[in-house]
Amino acid sequence: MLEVVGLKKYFPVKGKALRAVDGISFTVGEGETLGLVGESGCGKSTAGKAILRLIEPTAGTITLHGTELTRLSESEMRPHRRTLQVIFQDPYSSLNPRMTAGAIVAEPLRNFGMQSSERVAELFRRVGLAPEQMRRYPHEFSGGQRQRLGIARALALRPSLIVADEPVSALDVSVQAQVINLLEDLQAEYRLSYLFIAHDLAVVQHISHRVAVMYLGKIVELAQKRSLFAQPRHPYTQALLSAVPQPVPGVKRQRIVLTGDLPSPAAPPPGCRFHTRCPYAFERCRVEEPAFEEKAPGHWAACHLDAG
Amino acid sequence: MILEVENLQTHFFTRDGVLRAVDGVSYSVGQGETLAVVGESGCGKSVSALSILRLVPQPGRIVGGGVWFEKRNLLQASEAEMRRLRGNHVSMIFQEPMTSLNPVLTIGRQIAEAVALHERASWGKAMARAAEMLRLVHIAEPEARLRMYPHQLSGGMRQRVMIAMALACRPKVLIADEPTTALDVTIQAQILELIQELKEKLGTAVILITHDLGVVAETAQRVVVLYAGRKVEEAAVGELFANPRHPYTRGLMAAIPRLNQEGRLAEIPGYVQIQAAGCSFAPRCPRASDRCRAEAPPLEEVAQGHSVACWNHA
Repeated sequence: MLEVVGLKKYFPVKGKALRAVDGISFTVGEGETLGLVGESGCGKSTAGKAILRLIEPTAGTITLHGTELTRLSESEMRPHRRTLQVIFQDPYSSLNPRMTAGAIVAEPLRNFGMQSSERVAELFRRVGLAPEQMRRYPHEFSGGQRQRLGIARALALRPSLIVADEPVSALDVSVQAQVINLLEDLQAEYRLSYLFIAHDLAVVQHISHRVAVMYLGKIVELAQKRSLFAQPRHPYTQALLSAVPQPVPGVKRQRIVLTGDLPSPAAPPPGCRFHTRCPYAFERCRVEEPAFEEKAPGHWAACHLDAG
Repeated sequence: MILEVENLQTHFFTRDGVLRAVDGVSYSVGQGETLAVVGESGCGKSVSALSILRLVPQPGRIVGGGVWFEKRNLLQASEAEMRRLRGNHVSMIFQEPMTSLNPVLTIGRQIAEAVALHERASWGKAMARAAEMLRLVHIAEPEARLRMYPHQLSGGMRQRVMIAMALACRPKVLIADEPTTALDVTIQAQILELIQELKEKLGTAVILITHDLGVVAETAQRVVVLYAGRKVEEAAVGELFANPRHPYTRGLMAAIPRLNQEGRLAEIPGYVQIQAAGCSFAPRCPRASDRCRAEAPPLEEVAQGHSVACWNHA
């Protein structure tokens, strides 16, 4: 349904190119959730924005339902915006404080010449809000309710793909569970596809079917969720997983502590980009970039160490 | 116990009325111990910590209770005494390092200042201590870093600088308010390991304020669970995770997604709201009865070292 090939986004910084996203490829099928994880600065949010064409990609193609979005002009893009929607991280700053909740959810409908207060009421009910709350303003809602408003707005035009950028990371644990369950219910009901961008690995594992791990602008590993979490093949994925604190007291786990800081994406290291922090790096890693290969059926990784 | 918070009450006097942000909370921490204070936004965990150092922002005011440190009630200490204590015997680290680092001063100067002030050390000695602290928090080339400004460092490094600053005077108590929430997991792992190491080396008592039960399980010995300004449960960490008694604690445990565990997440319906009467958790509670809505439950010991405030606890 969504096919991304060789996507790049460079930002000019002091005459140099900051390679925020540096050639990533993946697909998202109908009714599927692809989790995109990585630490801050890895380029996952930039990738999401480029796919939405909120920013223009530097190179690569994005194909949705057989239409290559990257070749379309702004006006040709417009009808496709209906099928491609977004949910943002911060429900506080992504809702206009001067609009009523009802007007916020109705806005995308109005933009496409559709207007129906019944449809808005139905959307309110579907995301667990009362239609009576349509007259209220965003500040009158709790964080979780505001995220429900953001979801209702994204659903208004019956999209087929939603890019969700850290949709639950600003929420408290008890409310986070409500929103995750809602997203799963909506997916089952409307066969929605999600590109779920997040840094919380437990959340990503919970909601995704397949997971892609990004490091410094590249995807280093991509696999079915079970395969990725049970048998991570890339040392970066292994380190990430080992770093997640487990809610089980008394269990001492073998933790792979990464040393050093993330290198700058304006000057990524030669060879494998992870070699400066990799506990297993050897000579070849410093000079030759590893290919992104299928190491096991459906399990892709870019590492010299793992011959498959 | 080196620090004891006793029946603390901190209220906020707003135009819309009085908000009882902390409403009779007690907890204590011993030397070399880590106490986790757990709860969601609005439960009063940060306000209770700020109250210890008497740093509650307006319109908040401590209206009752005591904070005992080495047999003295800090709530009755003079402002001059508090200044001598803050950053010296009791120090605090915050979630967002940029709010507590001065952007126009080098980090060396910021760390050395506390040492020079509290220990009346010479500037040379204070700078040497600053370098030593940076080394302790695993910052490479500490002498060069001393001359840098906060914006020249990464987020993880700033957090480590703030820890170095907080520990420069070898405090007896370290209050860490969500110290790793803004950080990535790999950096979080480094910082938590660091706090653990410093606690063991220097015998510091740590009050760790967090909403992350994974962090609690891996670092704390004892846990206090707060909800809407009150303590609802307290137990040793193993006991709490094995035998959570309060419906809120049980709800939290069931609501977290865990690695390698599938199935639908348990929800706690609604959101935190302080109730005028009865138990504040009652509107969200699967076990709530009429009594819960009328009368706030007292804290009761249900097992050795395990107390819970609930009429219908498990």
